Amino acid sequence: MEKVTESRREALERTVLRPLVHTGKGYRLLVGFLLLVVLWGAYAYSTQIQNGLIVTGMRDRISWGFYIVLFVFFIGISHAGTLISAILRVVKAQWRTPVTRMAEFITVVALSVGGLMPMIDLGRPDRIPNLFLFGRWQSPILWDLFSITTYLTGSVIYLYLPLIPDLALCRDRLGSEAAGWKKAFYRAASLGWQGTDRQKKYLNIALKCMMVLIIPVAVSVHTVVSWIFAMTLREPWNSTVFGAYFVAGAIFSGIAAIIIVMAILRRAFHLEAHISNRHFINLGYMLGAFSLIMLYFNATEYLVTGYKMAGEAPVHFLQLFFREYAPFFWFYIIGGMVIPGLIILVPQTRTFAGVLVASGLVLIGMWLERFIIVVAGLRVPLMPYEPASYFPSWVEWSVMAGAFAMFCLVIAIFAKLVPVIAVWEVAEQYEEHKAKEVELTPEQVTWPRWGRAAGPASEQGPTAGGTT
Amino acid sequence: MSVRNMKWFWRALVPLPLLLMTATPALAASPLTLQMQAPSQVRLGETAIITAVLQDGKGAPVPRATIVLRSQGSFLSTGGAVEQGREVTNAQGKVVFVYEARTEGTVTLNAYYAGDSRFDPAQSSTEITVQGSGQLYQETGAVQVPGVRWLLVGLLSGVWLIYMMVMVLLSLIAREGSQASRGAGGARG
Repeated sequence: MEKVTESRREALERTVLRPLVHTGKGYRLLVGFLLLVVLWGAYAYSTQIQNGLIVTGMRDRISWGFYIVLFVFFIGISHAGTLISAILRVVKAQWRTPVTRMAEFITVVALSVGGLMPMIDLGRPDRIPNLFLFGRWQSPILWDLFSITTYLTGSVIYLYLPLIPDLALCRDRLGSEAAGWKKAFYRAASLGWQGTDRQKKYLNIALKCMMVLIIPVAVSVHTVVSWIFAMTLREPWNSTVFGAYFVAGAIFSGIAAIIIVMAILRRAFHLEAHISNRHFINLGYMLGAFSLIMLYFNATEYLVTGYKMAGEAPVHFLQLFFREYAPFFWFYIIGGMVIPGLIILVPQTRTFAGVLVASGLVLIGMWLERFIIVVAGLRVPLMPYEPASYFPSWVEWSVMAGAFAMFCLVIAIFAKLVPVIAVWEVAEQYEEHKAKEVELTPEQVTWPRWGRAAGPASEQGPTAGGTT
Repeated sequence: MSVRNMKWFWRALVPLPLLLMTATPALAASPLTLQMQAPSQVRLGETAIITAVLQDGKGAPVPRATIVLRSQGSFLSTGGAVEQGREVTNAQGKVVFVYEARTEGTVTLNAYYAGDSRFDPAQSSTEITVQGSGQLYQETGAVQVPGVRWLLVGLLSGVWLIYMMVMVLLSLIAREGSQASRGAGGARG
């Protein structure tokens, strides 16, 4: 049995460490392409800096557009990681181990990209220091600044802590295979990790502190983001449930983002033996549950407001349900929530492919939801004038493409720098299972479902990795 | 001098009606006087009563005339006349404005009558010195929880304190690592 566990661990290390020292042509092409898109986005932004916001589709009446939509979208995705990872750690979900690293990294990258968006949205980015110099406590913008910087710092720490043993593994195992700068990075970043009892104790305390702390911090971030809207005197944003609605939406889109990134990395790095279809289906269950929660929030919001139809609500309802934004709105409701929920609910479609399709739909739907909130919300007139219209310019499309490319690029670079799976955590899990197997008969072993399932190799989890 | 010889005279009379038609309103309009009265000083945030009286050339009041009160203002990089009020003169040719002093320093107020078919335009200016300083904006939030700001600051500080504590733990991990590697080096030596 000892031998079996050892070989399983070795296979895991081999699979996970291999991409760190071997780079294929496809990867280089992908990075080159992403870099070009990022540069194009930077060029578009430089045009905006030179000529001002007039080059965008934003005007005085609809003064927020793609940039703020992207800000809310990326901040939402950032919940993927840290929050989900922390929740799964707190509840000790066994299947979490191969998922957490990617989730945590998505958080840091999405927060960084999302945090850039309000700065890009500013016509005068040189005035950003004014937020610190003249910020007012009464303003949700200032709260947003505090909560996002606090969350970003916490997420970086929370990503880094479980990385330490794996960085030490890279330091010890990659040896001459890794480039000089990489070796120096592993040596410095692993903090001299030797896996001593004291080091494990300190790491354990730090991880426990962070996994508990990061949950309220993450919740506070998206609540405060929602208050930027809810505390503005605009009819469509007059909602007391915006905070909870935004947090639920963030987790919803975050889960979808994890699933898609996980699927891509699993395919690219041949991690089928360690990230099984069962992991996707488990995440799919969470996705399904949150689709129901989101439907509930939408029903509550629109039923209550629509029942009263006070103020400018009729204008907003008309544009959402029947007119300008009806295609977006109904795609969001049906394509972004109802269909993904049904895909997860029906056993026949509850497969890896089904979960992937559902996640794609959720991401598109949630992007549209943010577009509807921001743009349709601002379109409702404050005074008796004709509602304005907004159509993004090529600059905004380019910056958006650049933002998505940057998100993918940083993840691609990260995947070549550190293991995308927390090796030590997965190995610890193997040890735990081994201990249980010694005590129990094979039939009594409490493997997670993916460990016992019969079927295609990719569905059988670690036992199907060809190592036993 | 025969009538035939006076043809030039009759020709000269042809444009006269036209000349008279166009010149009539100008000749009919009479000059007006607009007199303003205002306190010379006012405290910041307080109000001042500004009166203006419109009279014709003979000193008779001009009723039912619209008087506009303006001041000079600037916002960001633009500036110009800002309308402070608009009133119609009463039977005594008088209008009353209530001006709220919201900017310290000397404020020039201008009363203006645009004129009509009967009267020429008229205007008058006066200066008011606004004294004092301070914040005029007052929060009007319905609910003000005392100390909530400090509660939030405390919560935020608590979070960052835990981050600092985690940093200390990281430094302990690094110290333990260097001790362990020194021990291993010593053992090898």
